[in-house]
Amino acid sequence: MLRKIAFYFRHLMLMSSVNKIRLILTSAGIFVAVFLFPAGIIVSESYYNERLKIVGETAEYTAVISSPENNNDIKESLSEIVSQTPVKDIVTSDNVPVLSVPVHGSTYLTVMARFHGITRTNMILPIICDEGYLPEKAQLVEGRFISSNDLAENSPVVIIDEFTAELICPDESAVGKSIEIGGKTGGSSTAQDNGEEMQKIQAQIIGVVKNSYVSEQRRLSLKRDLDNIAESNIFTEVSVYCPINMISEWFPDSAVQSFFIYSFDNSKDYEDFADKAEYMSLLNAKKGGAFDISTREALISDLEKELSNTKSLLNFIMTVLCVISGISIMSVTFFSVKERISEIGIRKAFGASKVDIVFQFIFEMLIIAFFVSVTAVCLAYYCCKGAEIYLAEKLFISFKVNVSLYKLALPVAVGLIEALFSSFVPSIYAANIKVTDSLRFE
Amino acid sequence: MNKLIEMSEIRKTYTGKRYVLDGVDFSLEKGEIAAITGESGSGKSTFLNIVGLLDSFTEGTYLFDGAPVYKNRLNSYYKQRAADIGFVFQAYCLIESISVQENILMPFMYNDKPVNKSLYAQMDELLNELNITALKDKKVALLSGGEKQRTAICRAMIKKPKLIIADEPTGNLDEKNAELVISAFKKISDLGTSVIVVTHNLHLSFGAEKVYALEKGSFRLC
Ligand SMILES: Nc1ncnc2c1ncn2[C@@H]1O[C@H](COP(=O)(O)OP(=O)(O)OP(=O)(O)O)[C@@H](O)[C@H]1O
Ligand SMILES: [Mg+2]
Repeated sequence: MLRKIAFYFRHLMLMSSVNKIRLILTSAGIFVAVFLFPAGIIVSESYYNERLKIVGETAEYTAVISSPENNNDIKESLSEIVSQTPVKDIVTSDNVPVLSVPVHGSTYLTVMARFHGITRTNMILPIICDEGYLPEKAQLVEGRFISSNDLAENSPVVIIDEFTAELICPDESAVGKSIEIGGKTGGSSTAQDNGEEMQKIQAQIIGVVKNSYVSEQRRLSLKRDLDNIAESNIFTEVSVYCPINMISEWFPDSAVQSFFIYSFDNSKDYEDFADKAEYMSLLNAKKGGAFDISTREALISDLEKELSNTKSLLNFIMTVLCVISGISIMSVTFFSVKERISEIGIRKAFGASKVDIVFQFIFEMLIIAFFVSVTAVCLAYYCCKGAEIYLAEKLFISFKVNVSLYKLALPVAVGLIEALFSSFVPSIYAANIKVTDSLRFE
Repeated sequence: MNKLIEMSEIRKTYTGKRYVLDGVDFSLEKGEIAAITGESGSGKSTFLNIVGLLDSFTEGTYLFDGAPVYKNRLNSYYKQRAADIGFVFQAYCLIESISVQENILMPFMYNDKPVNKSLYAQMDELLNELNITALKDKKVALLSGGEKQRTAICRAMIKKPKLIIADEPTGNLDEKNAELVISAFKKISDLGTSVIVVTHNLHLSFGAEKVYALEKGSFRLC
């Protein structure tokens, strides 16, 4: 039995590889449709996953309440709906220069720091980005984290990330060094103004953490700026973390923004709170005490919304491509039916049923489609990998190929389905040719 | 019931005007050899196609192995074509792009007979009998006419059908090879296979019990 199946398949395989031109044309047809598909999927998925990384590290079931007016009443009004003392963070709304160095001629690089005052000793650090406030789990690479002692005694200590460390102490370990708030004044006028206004304060660096997604983006964009030797001065932003009370000590006049973080154990409590807080925010808005509530889910859904247009465009292009290549495959198959008419007759004379003939054509097409699709997917994958390397090394753009196997199986499935559909009609046509008529072609 | 084929009053027209076959009565016993002669264009191939369930007839009745053949249901006789009938076409009708061996084994894609060692052994024996062992792996497109003819004969014989239909199987062969073919046909008919063969001059050496001449659309027993 096995021998028979093996024989059967070998025979069909032999036949499908007989006509090289047909093979090439069919493969090309499927390839066109299938290649762009995974490429599109890989790019959009990678982009999505990359963007999702911003949100990805954030703690679950966590809602962040922010108040632009630094309204401490929020906390009280929220205590009506939740019996939880929130974690509080304060962020300076202005960036403070911490370093200014000449990079080229009269061009200066100025590092502007945003200070985050935190009240906790765990490794959750806030990140402020376009998406809003994100409490992200940080990874210590050097030194130590802010301790409860630091918080109690208001020690003038700071935590920075690798990017900041690279800027401040390019050649040595940053831990133990200090960061000069107000900055060494350079040629930049802004830096000078600020520097004169502000007293210079030394803050000791006690720990360095891994770059967040946002810092990584900043690092790359700085690299780009330095690469295009610009005439104007260069600025870059960094995040610095310190015990919360240091903010008012160091920046008594600076405007700050407060965040209250509520954490929950399960999604039910969390959603319950989010709903109530949202309602309260609407009420408060009328009273003039507005606050914003941001949740991880909201961020993800925003991101998905943002990408959905791209995805539907991609799907549209894919559909068009599939139809075009489907038609071309169909015409190649029709051409191959004509060419193989005598073979069909011979097979029928020796006992092939209509189903056998239909099966043979579809089977051949599926085999071709399978190999072509897999090749196309692999090629698309490695093209994107190549693009990743090129973008990172030449243009300093971070694009990481990040796609699940399932998403790559999809284009293969599409290739197979397309082959199935486009070979169906021609094979039915082939199966219906009369034996005596087809043998006349000899 | 020992009759494999029973036909009566078979008529066939392609155009609707001229009847190529016009009232053919024909019967064949199991293991019997029948030879058919006739002028070119007299309808011999047409008759063989009808017998071999490849073409429909216009009128008449046809019993194959005791079962009636319905002229409108040709497509449903694939099982008989797969197992019971071996065809040797006038134009060989081999698949040109594959080897001799693949062609010979091709019918086994469609019948229930196993593809095993003994089948390969039988094939080798048959190839040897017809003197084409050396061509086993050669592409059919590269063969000579006579070699193709013997390959086609081998393909028809290997599945040991109930009926072998051969349209001028010795047409392209020299005397020596023709004799090999004829003795192969005789051998298989001794094993119970019926044979219908179209031949112009060698019908006597086939040992055919009956020789029919197709004239004006019907058979005349010679
Ligand atoms: N499909 C067809 N459509 C129309 N006419 C056909 C068809 N097939 C055969 N004919 C005609 O039927 C007649 C018989 O043809 P057939 O092929 O049976 O002859 P034959 O006896 O086998 O001749 P030969 O000895 O040359 O092979 C011929 O006149 C031929 O033109
Ligand atoms: Mg003929």
